[in-house]
Amino acid sequence: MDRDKAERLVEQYVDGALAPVQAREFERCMADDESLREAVEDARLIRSELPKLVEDAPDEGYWRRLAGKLVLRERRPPVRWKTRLAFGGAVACIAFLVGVSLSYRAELRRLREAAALPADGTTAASLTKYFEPSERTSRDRAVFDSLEATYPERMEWVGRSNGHAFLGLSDTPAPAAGAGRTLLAIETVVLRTTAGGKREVVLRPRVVALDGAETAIEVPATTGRPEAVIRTALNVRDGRVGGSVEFACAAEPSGTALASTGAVSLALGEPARVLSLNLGEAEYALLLRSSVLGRR
Amino acid sequence: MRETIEPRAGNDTELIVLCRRGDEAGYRGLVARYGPMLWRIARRITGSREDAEDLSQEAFVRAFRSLRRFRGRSKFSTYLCSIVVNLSLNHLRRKQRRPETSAGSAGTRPAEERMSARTGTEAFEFKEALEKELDALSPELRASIVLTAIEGMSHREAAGVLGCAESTVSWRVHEARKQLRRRLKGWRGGH
Repeated sequence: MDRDKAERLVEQYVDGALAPVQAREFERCMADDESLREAVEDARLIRSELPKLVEDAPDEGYWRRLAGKLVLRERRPPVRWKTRLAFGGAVACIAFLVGVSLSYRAELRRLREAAALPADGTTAASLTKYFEPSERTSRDRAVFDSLEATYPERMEWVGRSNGHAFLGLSDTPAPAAGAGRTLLAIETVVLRTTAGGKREVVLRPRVVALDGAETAIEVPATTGRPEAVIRTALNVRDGRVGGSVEFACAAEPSGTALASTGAVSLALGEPARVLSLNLGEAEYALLLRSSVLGRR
Repeated sequence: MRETIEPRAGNDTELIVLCRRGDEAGYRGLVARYGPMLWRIARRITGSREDAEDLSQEAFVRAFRSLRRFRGRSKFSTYLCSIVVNLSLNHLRRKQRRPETSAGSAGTRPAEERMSARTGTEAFEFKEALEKELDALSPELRASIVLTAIEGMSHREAAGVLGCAESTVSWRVHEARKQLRRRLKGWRGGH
């Protein structure tokens, strides 16, 4: 047995865990090696001293007091799950109301900022919104009521289509005279009304174009329903903005392909035009309006 | 009827039944029976009397909270010990992650300090040196040797408390004693 191996077996030798043959070999090795004998003595000392490290725990009085404290704690009535649920619900309601309030304020602020047009009307405002005129209680209606109070001379209905309407700021002055081409902001809003009366804005691109642009401005988009596609094309030429819209989808549940197309154009300075198209059981309304940004 | 049994009377099952009924005697009995052992384990693992008081109290709070779920698959003492060992090891790990608050922790003492404690203070008793070196072992080695060599558990019982294999405990105990012997080399003569 070499020295290293013997060194590794010191604790096992002290514990009496070595086989008799191995123990005899260890002892032979130990007889010739004083440092190994010392290691064995150290190991024995540690083995005997370790159990003496037991330290006196606090006295009985301490444990009696602790037990009393724990008993009081255990006797505290547990919070019932119904109480927790009610508390959680109340917190959630408050959080929801705060969220709605903040969202409303943010929207109002955004619209107020957007509506703060310079007097010469050269900055576009894209405030067109869809409204059901009877929806006096809707959030948008409230926002526009507020804006209407702030800018009474600028608010007006800019288009109507089959019982619904778009309301916006009147910010579409005639093109300013001068050199260069007119720079336009063109806004489109595509609104879908389903047979159930549910309405949603499905596409709302806003593009900037120069009057006289030869190429059409393609604004493709999907509706959120993977089977339906809406494609709008805008062009600006000779002081008129032209827009065409193409809808395609598969009717449910038959899966028959449905498609509908239409076109609308408006002159610069004209507030807006609305085009209505029916596709299956849904009705689509396209609003087209332009704003003069300036000259280039 | 309170205090139907003396704190140290009755077996664990009886005391647990009393606790489940909300009888104060059950709580008092379990605290009196196992409090000192939990304190000693926590004290040896953390190296601090104050921490040992906090951790043994917290172990009882946790054990009583889940007393209804205790199915008796293991001994209640094993269950309590495993709670206090885990709490102590977690406490040590948290302390080691915050070196600024662990200046007193022997486990993180700088090597030079440990060296001077070993070589420069012959007036120290061997027991004190052994305590210091025990505190300098890694938490896992320390927990294993505290449960077996100091608290007198078998390796199998310690494995149940530590949630590891019996062979792992055996290896840790062997390794801990070897490390202690190497660190305390030379103390035998002065003792």
